[in-house]
Amino acid sequence: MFTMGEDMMKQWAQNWEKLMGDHLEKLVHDEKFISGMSKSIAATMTGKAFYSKALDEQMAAMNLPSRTEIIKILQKLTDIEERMIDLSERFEDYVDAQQKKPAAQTAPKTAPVAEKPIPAAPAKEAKAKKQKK
Amino acid sequence: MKEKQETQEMPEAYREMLSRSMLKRYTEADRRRLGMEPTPKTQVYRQGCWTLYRCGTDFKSDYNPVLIIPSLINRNYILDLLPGHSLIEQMKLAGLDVFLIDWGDPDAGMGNYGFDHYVSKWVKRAIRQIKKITGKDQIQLAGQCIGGMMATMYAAHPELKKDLSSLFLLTAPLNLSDSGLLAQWTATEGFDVEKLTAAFQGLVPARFFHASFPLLDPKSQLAKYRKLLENFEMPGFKEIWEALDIWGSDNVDFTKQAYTELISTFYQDNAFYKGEYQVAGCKISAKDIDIPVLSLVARDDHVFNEKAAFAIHECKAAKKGLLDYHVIPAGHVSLIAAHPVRIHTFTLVREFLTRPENSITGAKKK
Repeated sequence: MFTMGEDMMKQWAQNWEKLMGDHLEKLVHDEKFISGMSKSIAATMTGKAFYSKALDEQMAAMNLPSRTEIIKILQKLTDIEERMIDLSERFEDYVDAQQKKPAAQTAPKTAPVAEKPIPAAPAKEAKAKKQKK
Repeated sequence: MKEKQETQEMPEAYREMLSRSMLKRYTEADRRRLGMEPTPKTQVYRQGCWTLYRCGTDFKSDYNPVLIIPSLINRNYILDLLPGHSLIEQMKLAGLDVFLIDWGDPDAGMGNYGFDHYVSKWVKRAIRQIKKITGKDQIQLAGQCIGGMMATMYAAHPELKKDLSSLFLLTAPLNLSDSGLLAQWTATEGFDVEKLTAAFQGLVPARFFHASFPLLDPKSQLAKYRKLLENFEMPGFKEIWEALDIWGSDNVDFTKQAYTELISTFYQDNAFYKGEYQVAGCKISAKDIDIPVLSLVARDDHVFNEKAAFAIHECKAAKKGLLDYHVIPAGHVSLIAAHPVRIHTFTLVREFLTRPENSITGAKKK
């Protein structure tokens, strides 16, 4: 599949891969290197944070909302959404619990109210009959 | 003549793949061409950035439904990568009703939400929806990588655990001290997470977090394109290689709080393992887990070593003989994606999730 030239290239690539692999493997396990990298990233990020803060102040001076302020509003909105969902879930749970209550518990409360008018109707009719008489 | 033409075409196709991979120039068409995410999914709940999906089209099941919590670091489709390379497909074939969380892309407004919120609010909410949809009182919780850590937190909580009948952990780290190169880096002098994230508001960008990942296994990174060339003509190799490359380059931003907790609370202080981390106002410890557990660990995992997952042996379930623990000779991802080791993984998962409810599998190690 490969020509002689390609085979040589393949060999060269394999050697390069092994050399680089060994070197990188040593490097990523080297505490000094990791510590140095961490410190340099931290310094860059601190600089970036300082620049962002300066930009925020400039925006405030122009009476414009900064990114920090917009994110704070977004976070408050997200918190409100979370609370709304919590409340609606509690309400759903309450409704479910009410529906699950056995019918026997609710029946005595409603039954007398529904039954009352039934004996009353013949009594009224009897009164009316008496008045007619 | 035809053979000669094919050999000439091969390097050209290789060069195209190489270019797409190095420039991360993948599109939706590439995903469709490869047939990624073969299992159909229906959205059943959505809140903010995250979505709960029900997988497949046939939902009849004799078993408790399964909820999969994927990792926060990458997308969830590693669990449903390609036909034949999909854990979810296997679960469906076993007759399980599978639900999957998609964490989506968090926005800066969610920056204050850490693991406590993810577990005690969002996972709980997902489980609540599943219970409503299926009418089942308990579910089987599965978690992959950091999702496995979240699933463990849920199963360790005295109130939340009542929702669960079993726990399945896939390469889930529990004890993060001395858990590999990431632990070594975070323990290094000068690794100050406050300073590192000082410039980020709300979110820690994926490119920042993932810049360090290739360095976890530099030799594999260097061998990646050579392996592709060497196995270019092996049936199915190109497809799985490209699908994994697409997934590997599809990274997700972290909420700042979750990132800070991961590095500072979990890696540097090892608070979860020590039982000092609080979920829903309650200190939790993985040692309190007392439901049946399946823990699958990758022997050659470059993200978390086996020691990180071995801590599950300290839980009550292990003492009762309810722990099924297997170390599989594979990597963090090849455990579920590579041939032929994935077949072994799929078998173990199917057997565990479809076991008779009260059967005790017994602690064992392969």
